[in-house]
Amino acid sequence: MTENELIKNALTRHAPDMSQLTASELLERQRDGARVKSRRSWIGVAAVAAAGLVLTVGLLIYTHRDSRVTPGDDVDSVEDVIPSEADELPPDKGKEWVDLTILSADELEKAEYQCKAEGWPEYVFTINKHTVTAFRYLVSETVPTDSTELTGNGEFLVRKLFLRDLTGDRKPEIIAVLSPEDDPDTTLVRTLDLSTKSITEYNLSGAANISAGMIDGEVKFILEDQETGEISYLDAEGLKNSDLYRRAQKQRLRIYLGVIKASDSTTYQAQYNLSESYTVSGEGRAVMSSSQLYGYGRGSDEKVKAVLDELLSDSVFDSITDIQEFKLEDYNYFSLENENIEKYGSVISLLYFSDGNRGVRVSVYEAGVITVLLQDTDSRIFNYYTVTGQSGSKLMKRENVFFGGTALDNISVMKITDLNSIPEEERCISSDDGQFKAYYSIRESSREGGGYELVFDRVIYPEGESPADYLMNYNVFYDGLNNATDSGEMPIKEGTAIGLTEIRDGHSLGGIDIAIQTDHIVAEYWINFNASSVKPVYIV
Amino acid sequence: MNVRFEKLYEETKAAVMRYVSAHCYSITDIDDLFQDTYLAVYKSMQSLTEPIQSSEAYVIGVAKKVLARHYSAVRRLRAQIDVSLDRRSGRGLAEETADSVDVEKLAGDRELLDEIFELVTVMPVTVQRAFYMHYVLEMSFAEVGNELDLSEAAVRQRVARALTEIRRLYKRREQL
Repeated sequence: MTENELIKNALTRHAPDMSQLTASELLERQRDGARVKSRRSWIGVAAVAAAGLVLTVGLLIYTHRDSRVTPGDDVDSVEDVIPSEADELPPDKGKEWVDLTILSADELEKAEYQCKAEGWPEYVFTINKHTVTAFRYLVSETVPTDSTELTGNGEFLVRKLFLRDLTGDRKPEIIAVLSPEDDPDTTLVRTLDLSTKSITEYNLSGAANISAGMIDGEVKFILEDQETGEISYLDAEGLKNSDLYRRAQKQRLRIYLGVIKASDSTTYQAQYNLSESYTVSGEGRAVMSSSQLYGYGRGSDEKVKAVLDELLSDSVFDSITDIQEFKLEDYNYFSLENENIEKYGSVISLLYFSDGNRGVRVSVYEAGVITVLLQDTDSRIFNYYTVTGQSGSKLMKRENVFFGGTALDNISVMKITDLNSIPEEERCISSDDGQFKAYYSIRESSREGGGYELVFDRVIYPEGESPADYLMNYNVFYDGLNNATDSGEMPIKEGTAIGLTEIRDGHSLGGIDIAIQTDHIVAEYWINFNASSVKPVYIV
Repeated sequence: MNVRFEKLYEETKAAVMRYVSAHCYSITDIDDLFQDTYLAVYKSMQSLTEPIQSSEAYVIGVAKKVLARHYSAVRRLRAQIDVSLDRRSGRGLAEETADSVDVEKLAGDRELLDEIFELVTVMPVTVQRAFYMHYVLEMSFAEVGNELDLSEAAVRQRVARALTEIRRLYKRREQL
């Protein structure tokens, strides 16, 4: 006997190939009550023993059912799907899950069922053939905007749909097993807590296939390890604590972007995946400064630092090495609701760190301009995206930020000397009347420590004035507005050089703050070396 | 009547078996679904006055409705997958697959056959379907893939994984 025959024998012991029977044998089995019955109790209809009765009752149920729940029909009440006959109701109704998957996704191709759930008259959910307009399906409540952070924006194939019975003392909940319509090989599970309208998604792509099934009256998540084929059955808690879930998180970090989200002027939220978030409180801009987000700035808000430490120390972030794994277009939205953003044009968000070498940061450098930077921990910029025309309390949709899904393979490091390529007139500090002009450029430094320096190449003074009249106070910043790494005072004249030893190509957030005060000028300039804004910015 | 039914049955039974196998939620349902389909067909033919134009389309249409009825909510509620985790508690003990196991020796082992069946029935439904269609209906992987809307490679992969599980079972059995 071959292995194939052995397996066939095993399968046909309890699931015989009935097509091997002739029509007469099939009918004979019915007549004799020898129908091979399912082992399930509900199938054990006593009437089966009498073939005629079975035929009659079966046909009656069949006809009755058929008239009510034919694919394509609308169903007004869940009772059309769940018969109310007492003898058909589960004995412990109210505490059980109900599987509302009427048919497989294929079967649902032409079907559209609308069920009004018993006891939840305010909720109507629609299974629309392949699609669950799901999680957009509740008609009486707006689905939380967080739901847009779930996988995909398209339609889904409905694999399975369970709801917790309506009259029970447990929280009402729906669990759906879905596949994105454009990726039917992927399955994911979403749970919807109807009491809070919160949606949780379990997408273990890259680590495990996930489904859900009824086991001992409870819906269990069924995980199939994609590496080993091992199958495990877990509840939600077990799932979250499982190695597979952890592994999937690593695989799918591209959608686990962390966000520091300003929900009001004093509260910010760090969110690094779909289900976990941290909320911290602070005051105004201090909380949001980049240095604090990095956790090494002055005056850090300890809570922010703690949150970020937790984010960055999470083992989820320990082993991603391929930047191509990032899929920025999966990042959905962030909210800019702090008035200080426009005022200060400061960094407001730290999005994400991957393996400690690369990360994503959202920055706002100028009022109404949002820049998204991909950076490593040395602040070297891999790429950046700028969105204009948005400001302040606008909800930034991902398509606004990641317009066109800018490719990440176009990675280049911006050089500080790129600043020399802008027109000379823009590389100039000048008085309002234009009589004083100091042109500068960036060049490599010959000083100890290397780096670069900003040199005034040409200076034009008003008649009768000299360099001594144009003293400048300067501060060189390395990581933003807070931490001056070099400061000094010197006259502005040809050849004057300000050392930029700490600034490297690709650095963002670096710059020089130059303040000049003379009888004629009170001015302050901010020369920004950020790759996204190489132009000097006049501030005062 | 019986002649008509027999003719229709012979013409369509293979297609119906394939359809039911590809759309069941558990292979343990296949026999019921198959029988219920033909019971319904038999009954409905008694009242048919017009000839059936397309036998297969007609019977598959009935099968679809039988599946819908079979998997309606209450029935499915009661048809909870009675899977005990204990069934699989021994998994992983045998690390090796059992390529060298003497299948002949095991062929008469009814307990093993039952265990294999139990093991298959707790596998994901796609795997169950693929197994049944390949091993019982003797369909090729390509044919199975076509029915299940999967690539041939995907079917092979799923079956191979499941086979590894079964071979572990042999191995344990042999060690007992």
